[in-house]
Amino acid sequence: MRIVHTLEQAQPERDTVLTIGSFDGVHRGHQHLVRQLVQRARETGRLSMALSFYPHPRAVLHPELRPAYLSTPQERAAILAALELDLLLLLPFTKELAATPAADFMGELVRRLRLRELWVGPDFSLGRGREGDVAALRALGQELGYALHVVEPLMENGEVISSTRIRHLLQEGQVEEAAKLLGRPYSVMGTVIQGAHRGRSLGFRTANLRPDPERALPADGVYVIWASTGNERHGGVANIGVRPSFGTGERLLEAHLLDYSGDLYSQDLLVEFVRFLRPERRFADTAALVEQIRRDIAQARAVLAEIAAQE
Amino acid sequence: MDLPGGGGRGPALAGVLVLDKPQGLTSHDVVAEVRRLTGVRRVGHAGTLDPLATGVLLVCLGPATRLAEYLAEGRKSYRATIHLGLATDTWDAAGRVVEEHSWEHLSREAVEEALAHFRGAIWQVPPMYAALKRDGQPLYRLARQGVEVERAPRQVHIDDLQLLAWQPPRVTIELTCSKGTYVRSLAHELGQRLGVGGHLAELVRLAVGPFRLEQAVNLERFRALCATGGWRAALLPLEDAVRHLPRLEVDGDAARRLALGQIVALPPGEDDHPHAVYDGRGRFLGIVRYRPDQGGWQPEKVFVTPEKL
Repeated sequence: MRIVHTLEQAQPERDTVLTIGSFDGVHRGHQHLVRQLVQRARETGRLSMALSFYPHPRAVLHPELRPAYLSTPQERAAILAALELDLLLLLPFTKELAATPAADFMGELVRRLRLRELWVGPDFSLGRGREGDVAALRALGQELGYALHVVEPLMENGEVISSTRIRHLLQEGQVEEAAKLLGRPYSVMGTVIQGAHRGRSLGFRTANLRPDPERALPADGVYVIWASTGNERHGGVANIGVRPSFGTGERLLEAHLLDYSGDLYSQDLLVEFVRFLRPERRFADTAALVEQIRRDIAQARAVLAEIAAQE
Repeated sequence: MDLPGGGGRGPALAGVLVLDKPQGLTSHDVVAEVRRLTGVRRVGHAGTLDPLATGVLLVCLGPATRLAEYLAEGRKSYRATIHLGLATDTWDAAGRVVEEHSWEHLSREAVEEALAHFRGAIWQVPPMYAALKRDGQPLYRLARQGVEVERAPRQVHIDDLQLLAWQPPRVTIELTCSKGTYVRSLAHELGQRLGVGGHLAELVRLAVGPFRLEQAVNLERFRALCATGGWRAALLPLEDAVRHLPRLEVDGDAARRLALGQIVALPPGEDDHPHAVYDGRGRFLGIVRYRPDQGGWQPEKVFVTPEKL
């Protein structure tokens, strides 16, 4: 997969089958659409292409809302590459772009991208005031010479799989449900920072992470996790919560890795959320807290063993 | 623990796979898939390859996982395409464009001249995933409220750096480098040196130590081999994983001592450098290191038991 950042650079050597979207999280619904598109492009000898945006259009149009990305741009690109897409066009989303009439934008795509087919979901729309909905895009296609193909969205438990639905599940701590829609456990990456050594004083070494504040984080509480450094992956338990001592109200992730004693300071750690264990709560004394952490770790071992047995 | 073919019984389940990693998968994804396909429980890789990169990924099976660290030590060769004129926040193509400069004035000579500065021992700043910006301020700066997350530059060694193609604004190079070199950092720094910014657009790993892309099996082919049960043929023997290390040959007595984990007093070798140790019959026994303070060779990884000697 080639990645380019401007329409001029795309220079497709063949006619293209294109999809447009933010593809945040590249969940199973996105994958479903992209797989069909790649298949179609192969059958017709065309180039498979996705046009995506960074930052997320919502972050530009509603700067007052705190973004909650489900993926980093690299993760998104990696998953699209794994689906064997030929070309990813990553355009910066700007207010000017948002104000462009749908007809102008589509005309530009047809000229620059040798566009023959556009594949989107039924609720898709683009252009100024979201005027370019499915009906408008179909009509524009007849004029500009591309076919519009509407892909039925993928359902899970009777509901459409969407990035918004996944964000809601994460807000409720339902990481297993989120994983079903994503097709993989939800994960975040962070650099291990110097903590208060609180864990060590209790007899459990922990790694403190401050995840990217623009990333969605599961609800506060304790989770069973997989944690990976460069080439090792360990089971573990993680606590998500606000550490008042940091004063900024930002949420932190504190992870204890099972059977690991190395120093992770300043390394990047990828944390995958496997299961919600319990909400965060206060303990009467240190002994009660230590006892609860022991139980959490035992439970995490059981959960991870159960998963390993299923594999 | 048994050596492949050494005990003459059962299938050999220790060895090294030289895979050509497809784009999009993490190195860990590949390990998980090999584990699933082969049913071998202990699988590990030597030397992470970024999800967007392709090329040589060494996957160790069974006891060979204990040799992964020596494989990862090996020098690596890459073919990289750097896009000049566009700087991204992640230093690769997946990031967000943060600077755009005209590159039309750049000549092949100017690029050659800039590349010359990256040959030999150089200091490099590792890329930071968190080099993402928020309100124009890098996240790591925000992360400093009370804590410092700064990455120290480190010394790496690059040689055989060659310009293969100059198709402005893209330059394709090949290089061989020491462990710990980030080609992403090189792309970023080349852009800085030329004053136009740049990012790593494509990366293929051509070799890790003695293992080259030409001998690599692609994952699709490996899946097919697993379906027909013929995957063991793709496995290189354990000893191939250490062929690049200096050799030490020992007699039967020293071999027994090493198998028991004891230090053996033999003439010194290069300090603190792992050596592959063999017995008089050419059988691979394990990895040893010379310890001047101990006055002998200390076993680090042993692949035989005293009874088997």
